[in-house]
This record gives sequence, C-alpha cells and structure tokens, in this order.
Amino acid sequence: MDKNNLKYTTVNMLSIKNLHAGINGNKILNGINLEVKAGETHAIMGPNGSGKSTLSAVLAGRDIFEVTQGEITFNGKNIFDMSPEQRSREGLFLSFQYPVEIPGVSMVNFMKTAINEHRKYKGLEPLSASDFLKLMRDRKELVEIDAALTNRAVNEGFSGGEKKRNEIFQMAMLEPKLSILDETDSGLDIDALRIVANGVNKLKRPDNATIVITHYQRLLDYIIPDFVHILYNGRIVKTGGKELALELEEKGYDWIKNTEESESNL
Amino acid sequence: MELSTYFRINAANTGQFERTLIVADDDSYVSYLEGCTAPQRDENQLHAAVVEIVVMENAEVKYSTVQNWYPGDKQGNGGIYNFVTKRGICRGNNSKISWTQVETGSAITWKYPSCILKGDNSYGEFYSVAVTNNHQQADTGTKMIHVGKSTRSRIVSKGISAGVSNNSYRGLVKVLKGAENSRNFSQCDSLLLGDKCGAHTFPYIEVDNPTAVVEHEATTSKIGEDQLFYCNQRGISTEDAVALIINGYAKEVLNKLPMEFAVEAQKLLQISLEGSVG
Repeated sequence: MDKNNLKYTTVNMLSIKNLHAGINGNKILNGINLEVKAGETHAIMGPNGSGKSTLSAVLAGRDIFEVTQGEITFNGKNIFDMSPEQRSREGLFLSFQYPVEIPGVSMVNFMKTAINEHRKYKGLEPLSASDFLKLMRDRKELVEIDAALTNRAVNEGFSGGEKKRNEIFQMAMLEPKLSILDETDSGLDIDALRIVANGVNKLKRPDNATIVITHYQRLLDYIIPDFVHILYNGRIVKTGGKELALELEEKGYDWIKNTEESESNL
Repeated sequence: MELSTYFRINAANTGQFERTLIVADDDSYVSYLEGCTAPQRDENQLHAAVVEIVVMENAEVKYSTVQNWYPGDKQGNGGIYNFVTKRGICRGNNSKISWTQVETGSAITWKYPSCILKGDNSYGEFYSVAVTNNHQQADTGTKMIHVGKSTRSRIVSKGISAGVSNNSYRGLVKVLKGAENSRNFSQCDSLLLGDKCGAHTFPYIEVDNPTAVVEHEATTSKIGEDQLFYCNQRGISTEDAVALIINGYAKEVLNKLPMEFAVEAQKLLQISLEGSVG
C-alpha cells in the first residue's frame, strides 16, 4: 500500500519502456528503458551507431523511424498519440545535432510563430509585439547570443557554433519541460561550449529535466548529470552517477564492448 | 491616382476578352490593381485579355495583378485558360512601368507583361510570384526591350510548384544598338514542394550594345522534410511551416503590392497550396 502511494507521488516526466525502433527494416533500438523525473539531468553516452540520435528522433516524433515495440509516456500521456508539434507544445524540446537552415524566414518571425503556437495550446493570448521583443532581448542575454543573429534567417549562414547557440536560445525562449540536447557539444570550441553549457545550467529548474546526449565526457564537466547511461547496440547497458562518465573516458568504449561481448558469450 | 478593378467570369461556356488601355500623361502617376476570380466549372473557359500601357515623360504606371481564376479540380478537370497579352511602352524620358503579379489561379497561364524602354533613363520592373498546384501549368515571364539610353530594368520572378504542376519562367532581355549604358538585373527563383512537380527557366538575353550590363541570377530550392520537421519540433504545424517558408520566399514581390493586397495575397498563396504537403 505504502509502496503504491510512493509510486503515485513521484510521477515520471518521461518513461520509456522496452522501446524497439528502427529504420528501413534495420533494428537500431533493442529494448530501451529509461525514467526521467523533474529536476533531473541524464546523460546518454555511447559509441557511434549505438542509437543515441535515433532515440532522440523517436522521442521528437520523426516519422522515418518505425517503432516496433514498447511504450513512451511524457507527462503521463502516450507520446505516440501526439504529433511532433503537439509534443513540442507539451514541453518537449530537441536541440538538433544538425540544426536546419530555413532561408527567407527570419528568426524573429519563426520564434514568434512558435511561441504563439505554444501559448495557444495553453489557452493563452498571443504575445504582443513589444512583450515578444522584450522576451527575445531577455533570453538573448541569458545565452549570450549575438543580437545580430536573431535578425537573420533561421540558421542561414550561421557557423556551427552559432547554430548550436541558436538552439539553446530557442530552448530559452520556449521554456520546455524536457530538453534533449543531441550532441550539442559537437563542433563547439571550448569557449562556445562553456557558453552553451552555462545557458543550459541557467535554464535548469526543479520542474524541468534535461537529457544530454554526447560522445565525450568534456561537456559533463559543465553540465553535471545526476545519471549517466551508456548506450550500446540499442540498449542501455550501464547506468551510474557522474563518475561513470569519467570511468568511460578513461577506459574507452572498448571496455563496454568487451564486457558486453564476454557476457553474451556466457 | 489609385485605381482598382475586378474581373469575374460568371456564365458557363463563355470567354472573356477585355481590353485595357492606360495612358499616363507627362508627370502623372497611376497605380492600377486588378483582381480576377471565376466559379468552379467542369468545362474549360478562355480568358484572353489585352492590356496596353503608354507612359509619357516623367510619368509612372504601377500595374498590379492578383490572378485567381478557377484552376480546375485536383484531377485537372476544368479551369480557366488564361492567355493574356500585356505590354507597355515607356515613351517619354524618365518614365517608369512597374508590373507586379501574383498568379495563383487558372489551369493554364501564358502571360508575359513586357516593357519597351524607349525614352532615355526609362525604367521597367517586373515582380512576379506564380504558384501552381495539382495539374496547373504556368508559363510566365517578361520582355524588357531596351531602346533608349541609360534605360534600366529589374526582373524578380518567384515560382512555386506543388502537386504535379509545371511552372516556367520565360523571359527576354533585349538591348538594342542605341541603348547606351543600359542595365538589367534578373533574378529567377524556383521553389519545389514534393517530387512530382516541375520548375523551368528559359531566360533569353540579346545584347547589341557593348556598354550594357546584364545580370541574371537563378536558384532552385525545395522545401525539405527536415525543414518541416524542424518547424514541427518547435511547435509549428506543417501547414503553418509551409506558409512561413512560402511567405519568406515571396516577400520581396509581395512587398511591391499595395499594402492591403499584400496581406490578401499572402493568404491566397496559403490557400492555393493547402494540402500539398504532408
């Protein structure tokens, strides 16, 4: 009885159960289990091809991936009942590994449309032009993004670092409940990495959560995770605290590969 | 002076053959806007209009069209054949003709608003957005004929194709022997939605004066799945994302329309492309 009550009071924001997914008939995810609660930061690490980006794409609702088995709930709702835009309005944010350029569409216009869609979903009136611009200014400072960037078309002609910063800026604007940072550190120099990580840390609140997907331990010096999961062959093979990332850095991914293979030979 | 007209083909099995002549006297200015619609019918109907513009010294004519004749149904049945002659002459020095068109309707459009730049320092402009969806065909463009000295022309054409439609830009820039120091800039962009539509450009350039400078730029792009998904991930529905991208793309032309029509034209683009993605 007590146990049941406890279960209800600590509701998971995100709950992934036995997720299997693939593309064009190739299986990539082979039974992922993951629970994320508000206030937590999870890091998912793994070698190339382990399924990290597939996991984030499936969560965001990219339809080129087929989910063959398993369930995912977000805020207690079945995520597969929701379109990608509904998931976004529910508070799921994906910082893209490769942010997309949209020529001709200004950042201001893009963000304004996005914000007002989110507000409409919550039953709020659209933001007035002056309130919107104030919000933009405020968030630009938070993530230390160049004012000029927001006057340009979405990601068009942005450098790799500027694109990643722009992702964090959009995250700051939309104030998601769950942010998934898909290799946000790739292509960043050390200064840009610090700025991006600072932005993420400033946005952290007790009622939101973050999943950081990365190859390297380096980012986790700045964004301190509560849990580190190691993804290999489409499964989470190891979970630990932040020290697991250090151990992985030291021993390399071969350590995981070797333990996995010796176990499967048993 | 601001003028506005509206054309409608109401009766079945008829054609419409109107004729418009505008003469702008010395130092005058007129802005003329025409809109066209027709009800849905299964039979094709013909619209063959002639528009002629004469512009005298220091005068300017701005001619804007929002063409939304019935385009036929999804299978390509019915719709208006829109075969139109539009031409203008900048007769006086320092005269100007500006054609702006938003072409969203008609089963087939053939239309090449042109300018004969006869007066010295005269200026011709052509701004066009042509949208084709389903089985529509649009073949449109302009002719800029530079006769006088220091004549200038500017062409901005934006084609948007969806469904199984075909959209062509066909244009001529001709610089005659006596057109010293004349100048042309052309930009022809095509945007594709889906993988069954076509975009074509046929720019003809004939230059007989070595002091002329003629520039032509062209791009072809496609609204990609990844762009739409990126918008979706930020909470923007696919339909709104397409509208956002299209309006960004056509902005330069829509801005040339009189204010109140720019908003209308934006909505029209959206409606014409409804259901063409996703």
